[in-house]
Amino acid sequence: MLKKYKAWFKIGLINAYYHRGEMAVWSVIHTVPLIAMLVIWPIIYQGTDTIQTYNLAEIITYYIAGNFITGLIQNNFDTWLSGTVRRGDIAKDIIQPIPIQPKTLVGESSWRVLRQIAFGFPLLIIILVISQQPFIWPTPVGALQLAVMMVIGFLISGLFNLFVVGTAFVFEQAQSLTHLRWALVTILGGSLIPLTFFPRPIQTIANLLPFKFVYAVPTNIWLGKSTINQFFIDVSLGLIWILILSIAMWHYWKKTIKSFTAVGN
Amino acid sequence: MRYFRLFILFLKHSLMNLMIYRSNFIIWSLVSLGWVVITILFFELIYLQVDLIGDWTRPMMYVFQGTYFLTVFIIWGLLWENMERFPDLVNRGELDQYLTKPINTQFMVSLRTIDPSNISDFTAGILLLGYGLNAGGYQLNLSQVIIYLLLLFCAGIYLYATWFTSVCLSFYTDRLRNIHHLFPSLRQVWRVPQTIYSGWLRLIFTYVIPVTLAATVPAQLLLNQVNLGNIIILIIAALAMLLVSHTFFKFSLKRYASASS
Repeated sequence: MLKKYKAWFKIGLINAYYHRGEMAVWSVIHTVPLIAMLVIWPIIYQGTDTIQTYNLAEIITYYIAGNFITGLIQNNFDTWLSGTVRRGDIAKDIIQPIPIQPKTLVGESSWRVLRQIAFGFPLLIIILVISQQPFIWPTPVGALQLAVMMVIGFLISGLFNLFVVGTAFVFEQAQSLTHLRWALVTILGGSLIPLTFFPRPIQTIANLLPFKFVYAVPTNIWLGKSTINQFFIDVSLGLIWILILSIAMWHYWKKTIKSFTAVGN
Repeated sequence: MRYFRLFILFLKHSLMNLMIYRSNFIIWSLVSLGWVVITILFFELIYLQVDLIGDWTRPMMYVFQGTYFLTVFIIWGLLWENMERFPDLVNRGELDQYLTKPINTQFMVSLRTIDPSNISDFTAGILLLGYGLNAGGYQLNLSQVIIYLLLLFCAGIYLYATWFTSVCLSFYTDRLRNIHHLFPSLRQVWRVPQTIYSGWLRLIFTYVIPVTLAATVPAQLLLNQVNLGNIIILIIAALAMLLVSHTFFKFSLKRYASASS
């Protein structure tokens, strides 16, 4: 079984390399929002050292590191895969001996790994050099914790994407749900602004939901703001969410795929 | 006059299409509203912590954000569907249907389909403007409103021309199917007032790619902070980029090969 996924990962790398031009454009698009953040936050911090437990170096690192991390773990395959479902082209994927869900996640991971190595990491270095802002690197232990949490974040993000794709079997405008997913991660995941900036009730809700694993949790581990106890709590919560979402997604696909009809593929 | 009548025809046709797929309109309007809320939420959360962002008070920032949303409404409502379709038209050789028409091709490909489902951007823009001007105690006169609308128009022209120039790169490669996403990502740059930028970033986004002037210059007019230099730059940039976009499009057409559609 692992051989199939390893082969699929290699195919994903070859496919990603073929589309390296597009990959470069996506990397630039992914990085542009950082410009405004790197400009506005030093202005906000004029006259103050700390806002909501973040100093300037931490908030700058929050956005730069978060941008790099989400480049690796935040899946966006629901946009094109929903289109594949609507056109009926997904038939050839459904009949293959590898289930489409893990196959898609493996393919997406290869794309993201190559993208970050080829473009994400160099762009990160360029931004650090050009911005001349203080930046915090993770400790070796933090890096290990980060690796674990990024796998959890990738899987949770992937499962949400699969929910949107599953909806495409029954709902024509499933791509609008992609925006809902982005909005939830942006607000409740902490990518718009650290969760500590929100009022307490919203922080409580965000801490219970899985969106924070895509941005806030790994970024705070990078910053060294997560204690070892908090790390184990987050890992446990993350694994519970993966289990719940996987079971829910599997049943959801079983139901919605019954509506699918293909035409002469 | 002829092109204005054509534009009205395109608008009517798009609205008729919209009425057929009403649920699509409602869904995408809600999506657009969601992004408006997210943008406002960011600044609201910041202003809970500080009173000023640079020299911008909360009412001033609302006037600026209102202007920003009006530029977004102009660009996305008029252009998004057309710019999204353009690389496919070129790569599939389907541009003939536009080239063979007895009207300006650039006009046709740029404005053929109009999508008013981001009406929430327009509504948010007007509401934020009203709220910001009222909260800040700013009084407007008719000449300010007229000049504001003209500056918005110039900003729209500049943003359109720059976007169109970037999508014309589709003529040179068939592997950049996402090229139409590149320019829109710059909206994150003009979402922040130009005066907040400093150093070489300010130089680049004021004189080389003056996107930051798109919302800042009209907003400054309403806030009685007229910067004549920036107004001149915006007008010149709009005219210059329009000429560049048209010239580049005509030049790039020489690389186009039809697929006998």
